[in-house]
Amino acid sequence: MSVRLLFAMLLALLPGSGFAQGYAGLGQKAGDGFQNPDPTLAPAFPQDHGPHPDFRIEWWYVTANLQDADGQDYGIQWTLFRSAVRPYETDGWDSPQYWLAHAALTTPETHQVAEKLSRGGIGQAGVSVDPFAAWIDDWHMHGADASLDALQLSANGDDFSYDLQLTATGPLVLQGENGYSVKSQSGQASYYYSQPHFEVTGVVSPDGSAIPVTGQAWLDREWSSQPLDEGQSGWDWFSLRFEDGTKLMGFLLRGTSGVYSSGTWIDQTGQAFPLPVGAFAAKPLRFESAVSDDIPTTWHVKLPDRGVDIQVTAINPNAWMATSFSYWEGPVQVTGSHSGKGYLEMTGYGP
Amino acid sequence: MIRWGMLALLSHWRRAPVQFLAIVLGLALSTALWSAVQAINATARASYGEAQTRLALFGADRLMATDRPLLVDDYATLRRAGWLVSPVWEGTVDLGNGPIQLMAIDLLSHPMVPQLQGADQPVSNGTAPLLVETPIFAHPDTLADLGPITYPQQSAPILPRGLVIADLAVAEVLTEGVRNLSHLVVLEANNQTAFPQDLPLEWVKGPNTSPGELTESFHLNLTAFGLLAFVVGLFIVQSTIKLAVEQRRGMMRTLRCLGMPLSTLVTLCAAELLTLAVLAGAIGLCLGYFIAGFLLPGVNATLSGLYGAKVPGQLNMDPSWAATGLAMTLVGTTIAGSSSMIQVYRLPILQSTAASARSLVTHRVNRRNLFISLLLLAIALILLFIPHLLAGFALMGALMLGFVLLLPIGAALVMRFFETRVRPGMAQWIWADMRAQLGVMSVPLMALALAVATNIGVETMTSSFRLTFVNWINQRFSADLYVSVGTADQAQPLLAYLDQNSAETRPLWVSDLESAAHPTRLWGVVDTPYYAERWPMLSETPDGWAKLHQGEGVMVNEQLSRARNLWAGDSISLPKLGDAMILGTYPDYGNPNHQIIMSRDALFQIVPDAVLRNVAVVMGANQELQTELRQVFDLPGTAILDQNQLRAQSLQVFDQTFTVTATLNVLTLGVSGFALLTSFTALWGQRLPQLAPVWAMGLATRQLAVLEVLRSLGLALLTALLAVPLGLLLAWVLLSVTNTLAFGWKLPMFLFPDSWLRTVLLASLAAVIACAPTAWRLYRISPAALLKVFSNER
Repeated sequence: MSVRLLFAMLLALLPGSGFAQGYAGLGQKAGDGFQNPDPTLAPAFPQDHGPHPDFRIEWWYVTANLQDADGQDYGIQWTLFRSAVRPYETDGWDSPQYWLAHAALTTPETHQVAEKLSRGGIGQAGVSVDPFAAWIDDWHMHGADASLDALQLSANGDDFSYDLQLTATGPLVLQGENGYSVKSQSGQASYYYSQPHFEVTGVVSPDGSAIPVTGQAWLDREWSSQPLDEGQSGWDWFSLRFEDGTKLMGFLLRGTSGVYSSGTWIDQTGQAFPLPVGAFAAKPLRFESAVSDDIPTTWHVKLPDRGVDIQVTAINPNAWMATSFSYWEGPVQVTGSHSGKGYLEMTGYGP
Repeated sequence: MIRWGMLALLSHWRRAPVQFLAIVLGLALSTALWSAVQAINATARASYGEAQTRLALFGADRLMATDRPLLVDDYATLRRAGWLVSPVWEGTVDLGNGPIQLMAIDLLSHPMVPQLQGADQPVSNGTAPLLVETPIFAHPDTLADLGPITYPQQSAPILPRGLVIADLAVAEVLTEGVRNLSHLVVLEANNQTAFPQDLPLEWVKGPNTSPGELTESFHLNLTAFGLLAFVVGLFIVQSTIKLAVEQRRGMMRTLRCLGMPLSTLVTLCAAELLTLAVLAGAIGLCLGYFIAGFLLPGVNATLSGLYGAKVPGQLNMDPSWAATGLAMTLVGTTIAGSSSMIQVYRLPILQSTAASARSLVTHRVNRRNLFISLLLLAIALILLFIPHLLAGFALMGALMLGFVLLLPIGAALVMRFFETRVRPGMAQWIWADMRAQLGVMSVPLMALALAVATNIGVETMTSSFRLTFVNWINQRFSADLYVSVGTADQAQPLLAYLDQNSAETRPLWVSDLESAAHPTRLWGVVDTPYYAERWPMLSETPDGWAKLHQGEGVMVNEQLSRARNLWAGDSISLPKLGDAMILGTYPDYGNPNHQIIMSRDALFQIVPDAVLRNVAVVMGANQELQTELRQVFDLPGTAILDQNQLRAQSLQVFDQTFTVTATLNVLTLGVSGFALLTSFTALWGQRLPQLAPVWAMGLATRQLAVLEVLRSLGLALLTALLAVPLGLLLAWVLLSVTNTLAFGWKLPMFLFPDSWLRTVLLASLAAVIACAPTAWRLYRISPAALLKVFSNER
């Protein structure tokens, strides 16, 4: 509760107040010495797995679709955000870097959420490169080495927890042009790469009882200083895994000057093909969330170039992240020309 | 029709201004008393904030490092192990105007932050602040004392004065002293149990006592008092409304005969009453505000004494108490007027005022009252066995109403007793006349009885409280100084130092019983005669303390005894010690938790690492010891408790409580005196036909006037005397039933006959003053007026 209040006070990134600066302040102008992504400089690893204090915003974002032995669906989210007020880091209480984390465990009926907040500089939260480790309090994502090939992921809330092992079965995918992902007509962009090929085993505990699960996970890494255009108010972001082994990442950015869509097609070998602007099309079909009646919970998604014509349906329409800035994030089921599973994130809606 | 009907109804008040005054003033006074109590409560509660904040800041459980400084890394390590803790550094800084206490916290995790923000905090301008640029927080007075400083500042009225709070990043700018941490606050939502290895940490429990309880008890009593005063006021209103309806029967009959529908008449009466209620309520609120303003300094002193914290003396004009005050007036008027409204509704058009039938009515009313009263007393008896606070209050209400309804019947019995035993003639007439008046006077007399009973009840309670508490403090805190030991390694040097200075000491080891369902603190004591001689006990087995020192048993506090129904002679199961014999129970006022005293060796068996937490010191000749201790051991101001100071403080608390209750006492009696006055005045017209024959038989008007005073005095005296046992019963309920239910400890009841005498005399005085105008009128009455009575008789 106090974390929530505080973050609201400190960042005031509520969608309502942020219409001129995009969702969650992501449309803020860089300035003040912050860096902007450079299309000529591709991400380099392992150092770019670590934090970039001179960029305003950054995240380590994992979502996973899981099943237990009975075939029951679960979804988990693990997110560590870094938000900088000044483009540097210190060693002490005066750090200008904030770390914020969200965790969620979703079933078709329930959606449990927790949130953490810390400052940088004191070791309570952070990301280290070798070996790779991202943490805030006792939530963590640890690697065995500097790569992201094998990760241990855990988080907990008041009444839920999960502890998962992630093993990569394919290469990292650079989104956009070599990891330079354009987010608006006026050229706002971020560095963006993913690891969409994780196989997962582990345990989820929605109510104290430990349930063994298996499934697939998707990791997104993104950093920028102004990823959104000032007029953009929210986005609908899809990460979908089809049963034929192909994968699709696509997003719509909604704004005053219309919708900007983009995405990446990933083939069976893990090779990424950036989609032309506007090629990825998605339309809301149904609004069935009890949280608010403006949240699309079923989508019609088309990518004609790849023969994709699918319906994407929320497994739990009420997967609302009632955190300091709130949004919808949950597992989805895919039917139509392709079938599969994935995750959907929608911002700028709701109460 | 409606307009003329209303005017006709209202014209009555022109002819009976006293009745009008009685209704308005009666309602206004009762609203005033009620809202004064509400205002005091609301203001006092608002001022708790500061004390509560103090508790939240200084009273939470904390982790401290035992044998090295507490590092920022320790904090991160604990956090990463899943401990929900928040870092704090405490020290003094000089911001340009002398040293001031600084508490540096983590604005992102400290539990106090939501309160610090305050409601008026602008919710940011879209950019996150740099933590190092966040303001310092302090009470407005503290900020004013700081003078002009360059740091951004924010006023936080809930903070104790003399304290500045800042984020750790800001604190590092303010002073170079912030290198390590002072302690970690353990946040409430913590389900971790084991410390990470290699961290030399100690979990220090927050203070176990909650001064808020005593204050709550105080408020509870004030509220009960306000409610009773309100009820007393309603008695006036009810009797006056009844009289007004009675006197307007003729007019109402005429209105009905002129064709006014019954429903219109009742509606008009209700509207009239409602208007009166709103008018009187508004006057009452203003009056209440002034009464509260007058009483508040006393209340504030009381609360600040209980808390040891300054309470601002500003009366808050809180709309909530004004609204409840007005609502109470409306509800009260509805209750008081409903029976009269029903009477109007049932009014037979043609029947005349049947004064002769009134004694019959009185009989019927008496029978009905007797039934209701017995029913209420029976309910009270059942309520006595329901262990719930609400039942306790209902019990009080049932007892008072049941008893008061019985009063006229009891008084009639007493009068009949005397009537049959005195000589026929004058004396017999006086008793008979008094008894005849009972029916009409019963309501104001009931009000008087309630007032007297309330006064005696509350006074007995506060006096018993004072006596018990002060005795308890004197016995329990008989040493001169109480030194809190800050850290474990401070204990031995401290004891050695005291020993060198030949001060007599009683060290106290403390540990908390982790396995207990209710917070339970264990005390290990050393063998000194002090405990057997001075420690106040409720019950004790023979040689209890001697056995305790030999490790043959334990003493428990009353709260534990009551909660688990374990008393001297029973045994209690303790970890590692097995079944321990309970040797006695001691009073432990104001402590919400359970406590067990045992010998130091027994404590060490249960908790080998129990810490020395407190040392009681008898100073002997060395009066400078307190200052020396502070200097030598660098103890903070709160670490040493001076017994004299403690006692003076608590005495002051009670003296202030007395000012408040005494004022409320006088006011309640005043209200009931006013009820008597209006009744006497209203009865004037009825009295003359009864007095005229006696005058005609040769009694001088002067004698009649004296008799009038005597009659009034007699009625009041009888009522007050009968109300004394009710008051004592009320005190018993407050002390033994509600207090036990609310706080888990029972207060012994002491009797203060001189206060009963004072109250009875005051009630009599009120009665004399109330009948004085009537007596004076009687004294000055012209024979013609008395003769007219006979000419009117047909």
